[in-house]
Amino acid sequence: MVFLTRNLFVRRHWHTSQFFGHETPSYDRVWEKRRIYQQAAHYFGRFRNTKLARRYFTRSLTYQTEGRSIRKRVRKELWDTRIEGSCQELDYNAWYMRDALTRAGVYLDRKVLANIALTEPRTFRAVTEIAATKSMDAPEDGGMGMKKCGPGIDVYSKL
Amino acid sequence: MTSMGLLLKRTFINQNAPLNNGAGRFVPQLARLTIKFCKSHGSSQGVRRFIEEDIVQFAKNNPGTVIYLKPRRHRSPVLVAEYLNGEKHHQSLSNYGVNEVSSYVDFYRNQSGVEYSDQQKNTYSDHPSIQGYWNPHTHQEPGVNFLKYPVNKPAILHQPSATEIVRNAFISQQEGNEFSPGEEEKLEARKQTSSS
Repeated sequence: MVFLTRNLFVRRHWHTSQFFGHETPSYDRVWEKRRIYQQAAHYFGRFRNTKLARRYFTRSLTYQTEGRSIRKRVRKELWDTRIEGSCQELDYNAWYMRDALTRAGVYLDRKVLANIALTEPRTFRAVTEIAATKSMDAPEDGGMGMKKCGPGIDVYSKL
Repeated sequence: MTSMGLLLKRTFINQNAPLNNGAGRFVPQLARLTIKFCKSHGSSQGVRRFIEEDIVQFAKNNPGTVIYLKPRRHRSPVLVAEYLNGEKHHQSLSNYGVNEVSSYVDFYRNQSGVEYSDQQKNTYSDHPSIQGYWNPHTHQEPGVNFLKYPVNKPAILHQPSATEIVRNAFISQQEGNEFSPGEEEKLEARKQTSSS
């Protein structure tokens, strides 16, 4: 949908008024109402037919505005949960994952990690092993000095 | 984002390039343009001016489109655009100026005949998963199939269970209190103050 504000639904033509002698607006009320009823077509009962449609459609626009920041937050929480679940299966604590991956130079974001945990599980396992190896490294080598964790893949190169 | 409730279709716009590699010529989708207008009525004035001025150039620029002009008495002007996929779109040109008429003709020239629809995602893939979707057996070792239970193997997660925590605490209590150095000092300090 392109129109984000109710004001933009107004269809206004300017015509020269014979009475006033200057340009006056003419409102296309049928069209304006029709646009609102189109947006409210999936509402229940009276809320899609009467003037209530206008009221509740305005509310839906406010929900859309508020929802823009809420969607980002909810998406992030969902990705976090999924990454945590996938890491737990591989015996790694996802709390340290971001830090470990950054230290190893793997700059993958939450969205990509959550998606590859579903569609590319073997790649995710390898990424978790990178994070686990980095976490188990001693602090002098740039690691976090954690106990044994992660999927048991042998890493032969220095991360 | 309201997508007009139930009225707006949701699609992936991926039918334009079947090979997805840019090969092949662009085929203009507008097949036929029919303009019906009146020779005398005022509502066709913009259309008549468009026909006098711009339509020949438009026809030369679009050799793939056939243009029909239908002068009909006492009829309001209408534009009917027919596309290669068989769709027909009509547009009233009543009381439109020449600029509006030419804008609408250009608009229908640039359309494919496909119904206006909403694409909410930027990405599309025929094969979303290459390695295969995760299932509960993806990360399990095949040897799990041949185990005979009960098994004295340690659990995959190294964290002790609640039972094991309580049992370990009881055992350490039975063996005798083993304090760390800090705790022992605190206990000594407390003992001195209580005695004095």
